[in-house]
Amino acid sequence: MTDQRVAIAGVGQTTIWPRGQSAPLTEIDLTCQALTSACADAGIPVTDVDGFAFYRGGVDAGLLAQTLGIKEITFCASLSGAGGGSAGTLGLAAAAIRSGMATVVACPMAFQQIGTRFGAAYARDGVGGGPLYNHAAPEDDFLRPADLVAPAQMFALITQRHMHKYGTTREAFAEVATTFRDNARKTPGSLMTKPMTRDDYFNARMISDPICLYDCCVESEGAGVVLVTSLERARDLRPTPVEVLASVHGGEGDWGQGIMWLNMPDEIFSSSGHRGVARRMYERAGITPADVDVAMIYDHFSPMVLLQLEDYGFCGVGESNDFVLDGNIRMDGAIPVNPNGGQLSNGYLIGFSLVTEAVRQVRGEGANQVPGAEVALVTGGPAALPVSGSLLGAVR
Amino acid sequence: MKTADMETMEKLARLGLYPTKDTLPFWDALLAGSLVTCRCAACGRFRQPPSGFCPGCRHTEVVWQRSDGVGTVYSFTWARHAFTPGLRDRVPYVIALVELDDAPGVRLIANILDAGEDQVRVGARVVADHRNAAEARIDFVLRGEADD
Repeated sequence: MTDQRVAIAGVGQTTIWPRGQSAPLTEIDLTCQALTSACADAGIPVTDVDGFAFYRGGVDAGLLAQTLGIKEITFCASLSGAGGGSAGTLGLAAAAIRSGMATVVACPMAFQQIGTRFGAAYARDGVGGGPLYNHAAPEDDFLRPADLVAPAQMFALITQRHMHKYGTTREAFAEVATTFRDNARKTPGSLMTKPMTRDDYFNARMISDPICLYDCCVESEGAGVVLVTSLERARDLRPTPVEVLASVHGGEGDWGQGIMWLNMPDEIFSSSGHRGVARRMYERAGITPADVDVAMIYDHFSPMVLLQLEDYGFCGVGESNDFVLDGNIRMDGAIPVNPNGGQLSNGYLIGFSLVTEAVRQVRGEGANQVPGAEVALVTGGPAALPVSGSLLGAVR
Repeated sequence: MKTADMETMEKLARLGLYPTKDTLPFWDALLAGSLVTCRCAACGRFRQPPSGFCPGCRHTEVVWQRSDGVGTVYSFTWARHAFTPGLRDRVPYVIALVELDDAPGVRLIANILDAGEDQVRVGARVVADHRNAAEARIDFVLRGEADD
């Protein structure tokens, strides 16, 4: 049997722009920018790319191929769902490599919010209304009479339950927001670079209790690409290939549509929906949370960082409040989280800026580097299934 | 579908709601000022939203059980930011998940009307309020007030 190990050979990312400001570039422009820079980074000709692994439907692969002069596409697939799949595209790419269906798989994400706002994703009315509003989904009808229109409100409901059940406090959310802001200030290209104190956090206006303005990620635009190939090939390309130790997606059926359902059983309701994925991911990689040096945790809303710390086993269920307040997610803590500032302060590309940063951290190339980091966790969004998680490791 | 159903569908479409055969009985009852819940005809398990299959036994027939509308707040949030222009006159409003006493396993996404800032909490007792039934709104009020 051939070596089944798979690695990331190249990574590329555009500027991250505030919402609406990447124009006149198009989504294809952004994707091609990121893809060509990932190929340059890897030392792979663009024409060698023969596979695409997407999430949330992805980018038009035909248009990509004709725009960049791709020779032949031999694999082209997307995880279903939305931001939950960001980390899982690596596993989809790995499956293509291992099965022999492709040899160099690009995982692209491109995102623009011109004319739409993800902040009001489920709103039905026009101006500022939502891209995820679906006229044809009878399930979604049950969100509407109560004017539940925004992901911030949905995650507020999950957060409030966690606070009730475990005594979790806004102090811990403030610690997440201020820690990531500090990290973003050390990362060139971050969108939010004004210093943030605890007082700044508590003075911010409330969006949907207990989620305040600084608990919400920035609305932004840009693109990122990672190139996945066999470890054997990656060894010839880069001095430091980054191995995909495990990349899994899916999730427990009881989580279902998650924030759009809100009828999950109580045992799983105040979680991130990632417990099943986390268990399988560690099993496949053969490592434990204690082996992880840096965690890129999907932070569309800061409370969800706490719930993922629990679900990925860095602390017990219900213990994340104290875990965070003890300084454990800071750069010098037990598990530094989002050293680039995350989606709260660096920029939001539906999870992909966390994937690219995980690669940089394992290479030792982070602008705000965790010293000696060899194993990185990166998570997809707590969202409707599938959710996903990946472990990346330095190749010794 | 029956003509009456078509009329209801058209009425609901004007409210931005697009039911199917599985969800129509819920909305039909709501417009008439009552709450009904969807229960598996074979195993008795409740499910929300109503759907074509029981997640417990895969049976497809359901019984619609009238609820007395009494329940408990499972979680809630005060929506303060008007995400769309249409919500400017609505904020702040309470979005709550309400568990019904007589339909265990059903959690409705609802508004709590007439509530003061400090009155809504997890565990608060509520009862369905149908003053906005014509708009197919799922509303509750705090139990103490309803009993006044």
